[in-house]
Amino acid sequence: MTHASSQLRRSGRFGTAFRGTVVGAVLGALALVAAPSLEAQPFSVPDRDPKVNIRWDRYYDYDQTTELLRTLQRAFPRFLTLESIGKSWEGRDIWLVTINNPDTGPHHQKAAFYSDAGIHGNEVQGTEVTLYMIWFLMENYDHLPKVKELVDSRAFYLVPDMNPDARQHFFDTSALRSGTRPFDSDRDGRASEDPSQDLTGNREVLQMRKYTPGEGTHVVSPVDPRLMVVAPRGTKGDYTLLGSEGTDLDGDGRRNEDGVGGYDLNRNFPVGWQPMHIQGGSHWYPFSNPESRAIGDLLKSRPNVAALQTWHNTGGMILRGPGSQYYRGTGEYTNRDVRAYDFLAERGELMLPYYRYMTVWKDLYTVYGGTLDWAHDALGIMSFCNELWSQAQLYQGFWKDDGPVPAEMQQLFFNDRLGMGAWFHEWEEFDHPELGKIEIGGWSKWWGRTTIPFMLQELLHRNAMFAIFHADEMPLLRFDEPTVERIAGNTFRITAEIRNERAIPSRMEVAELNNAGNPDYFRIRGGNLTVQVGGFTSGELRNEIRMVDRDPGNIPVSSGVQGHGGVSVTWIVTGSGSATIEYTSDKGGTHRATVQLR
Amino acid sequence: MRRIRRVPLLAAATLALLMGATPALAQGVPLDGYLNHQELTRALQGLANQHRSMASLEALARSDGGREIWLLTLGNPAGTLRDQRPALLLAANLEGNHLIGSSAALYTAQHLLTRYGQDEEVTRLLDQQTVYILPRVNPDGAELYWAMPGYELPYKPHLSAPDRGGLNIRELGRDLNGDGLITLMRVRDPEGELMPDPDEPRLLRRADRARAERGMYKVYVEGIDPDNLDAYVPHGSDGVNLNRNFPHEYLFFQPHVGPHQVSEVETRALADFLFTRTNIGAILTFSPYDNLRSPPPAQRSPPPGTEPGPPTVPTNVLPQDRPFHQYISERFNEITGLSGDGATDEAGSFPQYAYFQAGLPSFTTPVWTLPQDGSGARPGPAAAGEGDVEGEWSIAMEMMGQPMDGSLSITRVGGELRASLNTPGGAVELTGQGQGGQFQASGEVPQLGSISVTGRVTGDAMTGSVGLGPMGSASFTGIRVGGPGAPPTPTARARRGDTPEHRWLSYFDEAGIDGFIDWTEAQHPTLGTVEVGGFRPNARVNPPPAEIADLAERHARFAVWLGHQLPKVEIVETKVEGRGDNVFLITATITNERYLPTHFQMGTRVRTLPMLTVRLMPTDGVTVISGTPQQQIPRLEGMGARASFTWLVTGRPGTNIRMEVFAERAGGLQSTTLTLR
Repeated sequence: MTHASSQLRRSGRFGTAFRGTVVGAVLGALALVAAPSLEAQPFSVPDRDPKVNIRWDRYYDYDQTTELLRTLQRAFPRFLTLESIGKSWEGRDIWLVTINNPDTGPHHQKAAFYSDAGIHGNEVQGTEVTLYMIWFLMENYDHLPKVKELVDSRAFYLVPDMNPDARQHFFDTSALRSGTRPFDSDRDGRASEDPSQDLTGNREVLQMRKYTPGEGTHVVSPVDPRLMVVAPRGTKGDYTLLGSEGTDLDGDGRRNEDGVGGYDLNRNFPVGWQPMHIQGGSHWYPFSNPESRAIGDLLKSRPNVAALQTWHNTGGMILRGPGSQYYRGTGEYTNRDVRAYDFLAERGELMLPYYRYMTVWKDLYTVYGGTLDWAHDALGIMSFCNELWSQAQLYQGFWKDDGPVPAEMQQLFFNDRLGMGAWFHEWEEFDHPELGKIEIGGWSKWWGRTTIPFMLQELLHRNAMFAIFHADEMPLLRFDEPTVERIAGNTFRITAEIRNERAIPSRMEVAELNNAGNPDYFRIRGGNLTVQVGGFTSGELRNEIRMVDRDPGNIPVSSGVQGHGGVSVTWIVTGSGSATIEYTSDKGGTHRATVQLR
Repeated sequence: MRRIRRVPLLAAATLALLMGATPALAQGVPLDGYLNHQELTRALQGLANQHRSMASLEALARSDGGREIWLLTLGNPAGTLRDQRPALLLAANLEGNHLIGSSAALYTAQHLLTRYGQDEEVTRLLDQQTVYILPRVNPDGAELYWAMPGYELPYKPHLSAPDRGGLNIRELGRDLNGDGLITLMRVRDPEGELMPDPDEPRLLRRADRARAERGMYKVYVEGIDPDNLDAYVPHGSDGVNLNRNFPHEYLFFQPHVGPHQVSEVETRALADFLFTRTNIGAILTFSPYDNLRSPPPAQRSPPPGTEPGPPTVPTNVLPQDRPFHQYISERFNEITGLSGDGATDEAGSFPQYAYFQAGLPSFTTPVWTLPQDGSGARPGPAAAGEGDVEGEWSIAMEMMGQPMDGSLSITRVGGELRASLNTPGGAVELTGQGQGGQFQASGEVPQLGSISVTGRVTGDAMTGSVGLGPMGSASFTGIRVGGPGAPPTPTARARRGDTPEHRWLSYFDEAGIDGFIDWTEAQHPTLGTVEVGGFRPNARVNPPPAEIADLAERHARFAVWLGHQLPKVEIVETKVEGRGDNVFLITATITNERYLPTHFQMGTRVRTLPMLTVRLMPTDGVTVISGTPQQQIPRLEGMGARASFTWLVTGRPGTNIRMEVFAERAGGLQSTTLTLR
């Protein structure tokens, strides 16, 4: 922002006129870029509109998401690149947004943060979190120095929706966890031939019940007729619950037994992968589906990714692996790596009220072949999965058992009083071709796992901030000033130390164990230089060397630089002139310092 | 009896055929050497062109190097579509240097195509079923056999280092002694732990200090810079052994297994093929691993390097499936005359994946390996199963009360049998037919009229009778004395050392194969004087070319037999019985007359195979009132096992209802129409 324009803004006159123009220009949900000469508006001065005016109290389907991404890219072309990393089963592009400042270096030479959303098509909010994160970073680059620092020094690879077919299915019809590739769930030789259906045409798949007085399993609750409860023991109910909306499309005597898809992309990753009779949904082999394979190919080609966030719902969790108790025979990551995870997640709990830091298999359930295990083990990436949104957030506290509203009414109370009835579909009669007169009703797909719109922006912001925090804690390496000391004649002792100013090590211990990527290296070279001896600085007084066996000019640092730690090496060299010391790290970048031999 | 003139040419040809020196057929596929991609392509195209209707050739995929992964589909196009008939998949040459596999697979294709119309078993197989052949799954790796002949390379090259043959820096050597090979080098070193084996000085073994032995050598890859031995190799950065790239017992983060399971274009194409060609009923893989020469063991430990997993991951063939493996292994031994072991430690292999994760009958064998007794004996005569009347027989007859010995020599030429009966009284040429272990042949003896011979063969034994016209008939018994590849008498005693390396050396010595390079001095740039020697690369992987044809023929015959064991579900009977007005009881019975069940026990466990499903299709006016319209059972055994399904329906008389039976991989979808009456 130039000095002149900031003066104009402070004067207010220009600002008022602009606001009026912008309000006029913003119609409907999607805002377009206003007059190009106007700047992005700051987050910290909330009396004006942003450059790109996106509503954060709603959801965006695939086409709308695509349009938003293009809008953002056109508004911030210097930093944003939009490309397709592959096609979904139905041929939709899987978008990748790269945030990088080319003036500070190419993206692949910086530590990079990666995120994906929508791997489960019914877990929709992650896409909005990703959009929000892109928007926030771009809008505030010019106004918040910390944002500028991040965008200048890191790269971001953000996949807003890796399962677009299922996302579109959610918007058009109903929630779908799987992709839409045909899959024979009932093993009768026909694939996906009997899905649930939206019989009433309201773009929902609700529940069916039939009034069967004296022969049913359920009764309406005395507390509220919309609620169904199991008939008291020994009695027969008046209602039979019939499951999700649908008919017996294939005439095999069962309803909805073989729906769209039926596999789980988050069980389709290599580490820990098990076949379907051990892990449901894992499909034929790791990356057997185009969506998961696109992610795999992307991450394999980006060894600089040091942080991964995958967005799911629900429950309010900050999850890390391992996915199974059999992992390494111990069921736990190594201590060094656990400490790094703890650092981030414990602070994440502070930023995300109602979210708990959990380990997948210990605190949730066993997952064989999920994203986290592969990213951690095969690529050495510190990886989290956030389960967005907890129903506890609705009540902002714990429901009182002895309060004015009975416990079983809590959801309906919220629906009625804070939603004006928006989310519960009243039971309505329907003439079912096989079941006769039934009723259809129940909770909307926009309830439950999906965040209530008026609480959405807070969720988006807090989780985006957690992701940004994660990105900020990627290794940030800096050289201390190396020291040169003449021993005798032309022989010198050079000591160099590299420090990591952030919490994530430049190489995770699991990467060292699994030979993932390359070790870091501490190198020295010079025009007139012979390296006699090299190794890690050691000893009480830090004046000894733990020598490496060979090639002392290129010392491998296989454990990298620990979080908030340092690595010091000492060389004994003969020569003259200048020498360049270089530290190279897949995820920590390349750093140089020059010394003079005198 | 008057002497009957022989037909010398036929006898000679017969003899030559029986002695196993099968020449490379002038118009057949080359069998006198191993084929590079261009030669293999030409041979496959030749077969496909010569047998245009029965064979089609396509590229399943292209390797990283742009080479076709050829798929040959064999089957009579008449009748049910080939992709819907029970099919045998034959895959070979996943390890780049396992070229005998591709030769044997190619030969099998030729065997099937040329004997169609003449051999009853082959004809029936191709008429009713399909055979898919992938003769070389790893064309880039196979090409290294010629591009880098000095090495033993089961890998495909890695994209980042296309000239390294897939080797990583710890494995790259140099040819120090100018023999064009990269073997081993042994270096005198006071810290060396190895010493020459006193019983077999060509081999080294660890010195036992407790037995006052002193080590003197270190051994490396020939020409390697010892500094490279502990060089860092990122996982997934070296060439992939495709037969270690599959998910069962995958060796995470080890060398040469790829960055992850099914990471390569070749293995992905093969896995996708297995799951999308849902008519494949069994898989036969030519690979170093084996479960045919010997059946799979009842108990084995997971190979070292496999990750711990839940206890539900099986390590052994399941108990209900083992008897089938046992039987099929026995038949393999009989049909091919081959026994022994293959390589162990089959972690991450394709045959394992096909059984343990796709739940399908999966058989594998190396085609050639170390003979079991290590004596250097060539494989014994192919013990006959049913139908193998061919051979040389020594017979004992009783003619009019008089014992008489003779010989019977039977061969198949084209679609008929030619037999030569030799007795002290003379010789007679006969022609006839034979199948299923029985044969009948006849000939003319001047002044005697026609004579006939009938016989029945079980294994190496024959019983039969000779009909001599007016002179009556004589029964005889016979034993087989010769078949293809009669063994030379073993002469070498077993060596004291019992490692595979010792046995290989014995075998090479006996068979006169130059399989070991003797140690000779050479110079190393930094280590000084060293000795270079070791097993010749690939000498323990591929046999001398002269043995290709014989081995291929044996395996082709087994492939034909195996094809006939594939399950096939058929509708035996449907019944509709009235049970009152407009009420009908429908019963359907299905059977599987073949040997293999529709599902192995493993197949009922995996979720990738549908169940055996029978269903009445929705029909206007018809309501099913007992029994769900669709009924499923997990499997149907073979050998005539039956299953019945019943429904009680209401409907108007005269209504037609379609019933479908779905048995994926055992006949696919069949339907029939029932009428309510």
